[in-house]
Amino acid sequence: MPYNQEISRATPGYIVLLIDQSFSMDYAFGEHGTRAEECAKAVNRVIRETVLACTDGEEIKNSCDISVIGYGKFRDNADNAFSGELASKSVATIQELTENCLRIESIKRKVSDGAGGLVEIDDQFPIWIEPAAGGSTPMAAAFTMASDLVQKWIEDHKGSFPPVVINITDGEANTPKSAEIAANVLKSLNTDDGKTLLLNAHIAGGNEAEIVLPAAPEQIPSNDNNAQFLFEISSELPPVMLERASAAGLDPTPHAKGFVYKAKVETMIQLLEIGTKAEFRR
Amino acid sequence: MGETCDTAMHDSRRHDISIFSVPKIGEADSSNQDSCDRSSSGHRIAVADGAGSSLYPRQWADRLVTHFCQFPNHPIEALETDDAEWLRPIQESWRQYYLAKAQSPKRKWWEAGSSTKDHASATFVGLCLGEGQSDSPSEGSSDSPSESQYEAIALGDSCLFHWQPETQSLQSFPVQTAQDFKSTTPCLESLPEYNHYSPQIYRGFYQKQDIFWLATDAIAQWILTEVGNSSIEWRVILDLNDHAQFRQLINRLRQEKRIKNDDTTLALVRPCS
Repeated sequence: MPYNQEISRATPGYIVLLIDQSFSMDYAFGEHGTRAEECAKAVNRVIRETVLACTDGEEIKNSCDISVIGYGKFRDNADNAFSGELASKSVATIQELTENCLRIESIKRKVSDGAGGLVEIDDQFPIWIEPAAGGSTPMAAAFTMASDLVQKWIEDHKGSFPPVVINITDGEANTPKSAEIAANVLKSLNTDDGKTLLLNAHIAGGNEAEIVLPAAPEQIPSNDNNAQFLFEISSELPPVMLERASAAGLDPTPHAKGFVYKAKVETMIQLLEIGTKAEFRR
Repeated sequence: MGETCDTAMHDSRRHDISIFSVPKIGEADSSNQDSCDRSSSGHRIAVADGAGSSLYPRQWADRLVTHFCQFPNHPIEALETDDAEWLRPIQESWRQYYLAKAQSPKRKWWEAGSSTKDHASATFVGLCLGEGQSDSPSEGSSDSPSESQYEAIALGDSCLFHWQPETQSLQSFPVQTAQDFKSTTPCLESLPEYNHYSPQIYRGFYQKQDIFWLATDAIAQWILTEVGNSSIEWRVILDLNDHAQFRQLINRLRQEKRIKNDDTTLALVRPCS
């Protein structure tokens, strides 16, 4: 049965996050920031949670690799979105991530002392990714770069849970046909445990109705080509992700795809969590 | 404390108990998040499976099994009466361990967890065998004088198996079929602030030739898969004598992709004759 491999040092996972950095990512999103800011915040949070999932509190285990690709910041390029010490690392191990963040922000968190009082501890938030918004939406270039990384990674990890690629975008691909071809190439790459999964989070700042984990094309507006395109290229969620989605209260149907459309901040985060936590089981 | 990993131990005083445990492929024994313990009389035995992605899971799993086996009164009666109360002392012990880590000036950012990862979780199964010992179940009544009572308590997908050679019957508790294993399962939580599920309790009778085993989810799922396929390959478990045999079995099943690559623990209990 595919999509069943446990994550471990011997069979690490691989998460690839694609971030749309086109100019429209500078638009407001949610109550407090721009799309680029909220997106960077969510990606930093996902990386932090993934690192935390790879430690029991003391020992760091290299049981997941992470890539972050930004696209559209400069012309039609897709690039490694890590900077600083990780700028030359298109695939970062958990150990490398713990040792090389840009900075750490702290927030005081109060926790119970067990005797009716509260004690303060520093909740530390490493920052690896900065917000960016610049040019257009070269999604095809991002999928192609992801394919190159995934293909190389799979060569050394045939026994692993397949790579999970999550694309966060607010717009339409510059060249939808090329993007579709590149996405299909990406999804055809497989480990012994299944094909690479491609999840898409389309974000929007308005009050329009969201489409969350649709299972059939009829659930997508027939006159919305971009929604149809993103639905078509999104992978059907394997059972392990459907269970995670159910646990998050999303109530997906059996053939639901890893796709949210016109998502609000919370929904975008939920999709990221489904895509990045399911393979860690419990 | 719970047993260290990859060990086989025999308690010859009352019941013959063998404990086997191996970590995931590529992991050190010290990274094994399963824990197992037994009482000095051998009438109580418990297995806990710490959730690998929770915080300090081995610390929690160790506390659970030791508390169950060393509890001064009958642990299942106490759990049945008020499981939250039974858990409280070890939850506070775990909390103090966590706070010491989180408040240490030398700690790394990940050692304090996060607002969503601030506690440990573990599945649990415990067995009490009757034979009139102080830490055993109260004497049960049975139609047959050769039968003794046992009690079991479990939460999540760590399982108890009861093999009755006379009737060739294998019972499992609390999970009944291989299909019932999911990627998420109820757990005992290391902080009382979290909503908890109450464990399930089962009471039955056994004869001296019967065999019990407590198992964490990976091997429990394999056994139930074999049972579901009308295969008797699982009976290899009945002949396990040392941890080398156990490791060999698990390695073979892993290579054949018939068992999950997970920390795997089995505690085999042969009641005294």
